[in-house]
Amino acid sequence: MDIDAFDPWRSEQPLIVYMDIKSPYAFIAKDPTYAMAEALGIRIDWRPLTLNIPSYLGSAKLDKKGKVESSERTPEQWAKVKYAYRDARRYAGELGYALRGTEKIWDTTLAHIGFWWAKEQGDGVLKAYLDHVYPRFWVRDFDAEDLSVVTAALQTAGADTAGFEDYANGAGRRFHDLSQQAVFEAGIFGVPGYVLEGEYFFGREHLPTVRWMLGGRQGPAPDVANPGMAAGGGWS
Amino acid sequence: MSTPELTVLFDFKDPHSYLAVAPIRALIEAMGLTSHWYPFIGNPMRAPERPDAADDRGGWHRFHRATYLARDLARYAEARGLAAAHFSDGGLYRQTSGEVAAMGFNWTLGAGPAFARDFMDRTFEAYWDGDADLDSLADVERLIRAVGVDADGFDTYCALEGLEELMAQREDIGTAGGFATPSCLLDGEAFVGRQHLPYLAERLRRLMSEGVEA
Repeated sequence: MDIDAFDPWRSEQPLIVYMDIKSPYAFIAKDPTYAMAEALGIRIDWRPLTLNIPSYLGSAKLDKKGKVESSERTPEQWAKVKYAYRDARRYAGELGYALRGTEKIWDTTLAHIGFWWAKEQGDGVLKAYLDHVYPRFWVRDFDAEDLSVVTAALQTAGADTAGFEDYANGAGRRFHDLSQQAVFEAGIFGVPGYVLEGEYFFGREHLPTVRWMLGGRQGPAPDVANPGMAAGGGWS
Repeated sequence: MSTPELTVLFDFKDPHSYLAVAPIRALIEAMGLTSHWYPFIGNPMRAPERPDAADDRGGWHRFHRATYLARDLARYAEARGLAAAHFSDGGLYRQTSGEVAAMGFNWTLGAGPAFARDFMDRTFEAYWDGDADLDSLADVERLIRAVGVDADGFDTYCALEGLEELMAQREDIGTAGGFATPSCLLDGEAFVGRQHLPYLAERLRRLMSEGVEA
């Protein structure tokens, strides 16, 4: 991957989707987004976006019993975080997934270097990687910071991992860091993030609009709506 | 089974509330729900502030997010055919509490829900397209009278029981699980934002069919 060729706004594909393994909202956006792409017959340019959560939501760590061990969050930040998890959990349940709050704020850099590695080996490998990693991370069964775990996930996804360790410690990390800087400086700050036709949409609630745009803007523009897995992204 | 009841929280100064009123009403009417609407005072939006330091990550995050929110509100207002003039002219960041307008809603509700509904519509439009001040007694009294409700005594109400009523409502709302606008509360479960409406409709369908089966 060539950082000089990396453009946060442009792709050979009609849609760029930014995701972070540690975002519960990106987790529950994955399946409906893939379903939309399949229904429309388009390829997605999936890209990782490594959020710096402490910078805007404070930081916190849970002890083994799930109680807050340390926190730098205000009460308002806590209220938002707690609601976000409750919200994500109810939708995850609709998709058939369990979702447990994380015990700490993870650094998903390594998992995202794996993301780029898998992507280089094809759409199928990337999907298998994301389908493997996300559900496990969200039941506390995936150490996103452990090289052996990330490597095993790549292997499970069908990726050739020869050279991955060197890549993760060298060129891959450099590319990750520089691309993340470019994405942030472009004003793309949250996930899931949908970029198409020079527009950025933050949140899966924009999937109806994204679908409408990709489908040629036929009919009136839709409003925001969290997608279900019924035809057209509906609920029944 | 009895008709499900929905509690709806809104804030006149909240642009998301303005966009949410019509679709929430549509859901309520389509499903034949009972609803209770309450004004809920939140914090006004803050204008994007470009950080001084290039490495102020949190500051830049807030700047990008605030810039994005303004763009997002404007595009969905346009999609809905709402003029919402003040979405695009800096009016998103007016520093107002909206308490007087909130008390105006409660005052008109005392005359009947149809009056309160009309007051809500006029007030949202007057604030987001006109020059109404949500904290102005004169402006809110004008809106009260415009819907056909007597505004005599409203100033006294605002100074005394009006504020007490707002505070009591806020406490009850908090106990019921409400904390932001626009929200729908169903059996203590909060749905913040209009993006949940299709899912809320599905949940209500399931609830109502369980009631039929029972």
